[in-house]
Amino acid sequence: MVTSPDRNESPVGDVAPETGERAKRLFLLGCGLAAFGVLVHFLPVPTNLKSLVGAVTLVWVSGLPPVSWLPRQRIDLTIPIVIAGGLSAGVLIASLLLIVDWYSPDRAAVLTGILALALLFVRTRKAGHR
Amino acid sequence: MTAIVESEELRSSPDHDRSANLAGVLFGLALLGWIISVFTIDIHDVNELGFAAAFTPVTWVSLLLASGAVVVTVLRVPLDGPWFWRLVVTGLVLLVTIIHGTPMVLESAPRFFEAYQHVGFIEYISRTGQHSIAVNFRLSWFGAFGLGATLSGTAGPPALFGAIRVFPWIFDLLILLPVYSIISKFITDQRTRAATLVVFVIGNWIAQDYLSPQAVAYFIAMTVVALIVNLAPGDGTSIRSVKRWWELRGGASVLLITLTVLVSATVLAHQLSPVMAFALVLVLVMTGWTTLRVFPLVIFAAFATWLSVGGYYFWGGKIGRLLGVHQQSGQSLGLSSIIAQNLTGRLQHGGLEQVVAVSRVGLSLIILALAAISAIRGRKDRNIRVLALLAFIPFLLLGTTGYGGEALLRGFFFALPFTSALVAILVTRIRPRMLAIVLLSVVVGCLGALTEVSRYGNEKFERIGADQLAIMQDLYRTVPPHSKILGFGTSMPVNFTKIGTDLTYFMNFFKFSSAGPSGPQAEQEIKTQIDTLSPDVVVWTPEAAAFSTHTFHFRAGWDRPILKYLLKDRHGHLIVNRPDIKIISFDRSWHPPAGAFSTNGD
Repeated sequence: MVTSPDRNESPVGDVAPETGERAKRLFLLGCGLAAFGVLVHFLPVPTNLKSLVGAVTLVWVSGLPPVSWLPRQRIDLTIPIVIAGGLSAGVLIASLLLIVDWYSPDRAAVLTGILALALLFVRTRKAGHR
Repeated sequence: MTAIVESEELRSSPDHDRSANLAGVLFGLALLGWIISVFTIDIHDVNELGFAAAFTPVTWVSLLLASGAVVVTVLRVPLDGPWFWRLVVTGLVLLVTIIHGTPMVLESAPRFFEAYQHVGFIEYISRTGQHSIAVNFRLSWFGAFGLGATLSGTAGPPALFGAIRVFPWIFDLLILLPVYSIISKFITDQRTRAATLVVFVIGNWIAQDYLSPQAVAYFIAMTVVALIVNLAPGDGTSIRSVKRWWELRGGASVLLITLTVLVSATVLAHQLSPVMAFALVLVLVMTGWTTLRVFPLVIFAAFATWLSVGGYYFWGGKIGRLLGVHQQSGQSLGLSSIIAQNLTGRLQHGGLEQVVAVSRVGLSLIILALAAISAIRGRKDRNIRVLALLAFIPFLLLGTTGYGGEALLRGFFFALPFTSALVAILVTRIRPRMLAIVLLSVVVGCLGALTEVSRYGNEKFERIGADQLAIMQDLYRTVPPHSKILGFGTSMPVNFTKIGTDLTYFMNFFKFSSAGPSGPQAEQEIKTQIDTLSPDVVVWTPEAAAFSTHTFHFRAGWDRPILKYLLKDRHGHLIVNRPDIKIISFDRSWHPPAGAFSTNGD
């Protein structure tokens, strides 16, 4: 659970040398997870399992953007960021769609996933240009 | 931030290498014991003591072995090897599984009626795409329910009964991550960090871990605190004036945006958690633990904005709700009543109920007393002073919200990471000799047993049978739309579907004269309100009737004359007649097809 002190103490705002590569890896991870979630949706597996995989992958994908923008952290902080970030993104987008009276579960899920991947892509581009 | 406790010199003996093997063997035996327990526990033995009454000797031995293994790991296993954190994580998973996993595995249907109600809100949003406050005022904070609809709806209509079952176990494990991240900035000694997590698990009897917006918001709020202390640490300069506060503000914009997103989600998900997040962050700012000095204003602005707009239905015309006045059965409760309801009132039961009440108060007082001793002993250490302040601030909630009976519990839960850290600092000062390890193992085992009694005791009304659930599903499937369904109490699996289509009422929310639901006029008042409501269907379960007695102070046995009144005087027709559930119909046009209630005992 505890890694090297330099990771632990990295200050906010500094861009570590490997940031571009890391952002790219996170973007690919996000795309892979999203593809897996969609793929399972079309497989002949129980609906409950589809829901579980869909929920977990959606939370994980939408929790990746803050991880890509914030400095590298230990795993005990990274996992809460991913989970809390994913849950928060889901809460905000569902709330927004409900407020404007345009909510449906599919619409919210697709919008959340696409927004997360778009943010990851932007981060990859920005980090790549540094 | 400096180390608080560093006692490695006490643990440099070569024979400590063998302690990892010992801990591993104890964990293996504890796991084996728990697996045997799962097949030997008779769930019918559960009584007012909760699952503790049904635990077999093998279960208790497995809890004791797990406790011993955890103590050996925390105090003796070398830190320089690969096994320390692996064994700590194994121990935490095992403790959480024995304490919370046993009910999860053994109960025929997942517990707690509130979780079913939350499933109903999720299903309503999924089905209608709406968040009408006319359906329920709790939909003013619809964020978490919308999230639930999105996540559960990725493969069709929500099917969340499985989620109700596993949610507490998953939550109780995952919450340890942000807790660890927070306390790791206050405590550098890894043994004390590990001990903090163990105390957190042992002290978490609060039952706020079920499928609910507050559980989601608690996780996010703790992550916010973890992010702040880890990514925007201050220089430790306390704020003594407004000018000083404004001068030293700072923080990265990326972090501020991320935190704002997280806090906005808690604001939309739950009415109380943003207040707690505000209080904790304010302490961090005032004590110089973070440079994000403006962030409390962001939290307050988000909270106040939503309370003024989305939450208006909750408090509009009922300003007392915001000022600490809580309504129950038509009666107003102030601060003193809330304390009485939480503390002294709970100690006035008899028999096993008293045992459970004493164990709850006792367990909480033990943790709070040890934390206070630790804070007093370490008062010269700045980190300990801040931890003590963070542990104290959630209890101010008592005077600032209209949250009624849950206020003290919520305060204790938000303080728990910090009280656990203070207790752990005290405990890890103990020299790890054999006698101390044996004694500590017994103490941790006994506290684990107390947690089991405190968490699941006196909550029989939370239990839901698989047959009850199946019958309620049959009822909702067959009852005509817009039927008025009346329950003997809220403690039953209702409202998990068709919210907004069928209207559900509960006798524990009836209005009573000044003598309340235990007064001499109560029976007549209930009958009168039933006549006024004129329900189409009435549902009785023993848990619902007991809940109204236990929590809303109805007289013991109050349900029998009401059942007789419904069947004899109002000529109700028994659709389902079982010892665990009765469904009485007053709708002469409703004729459920034969076999509609698959588990009807008639």
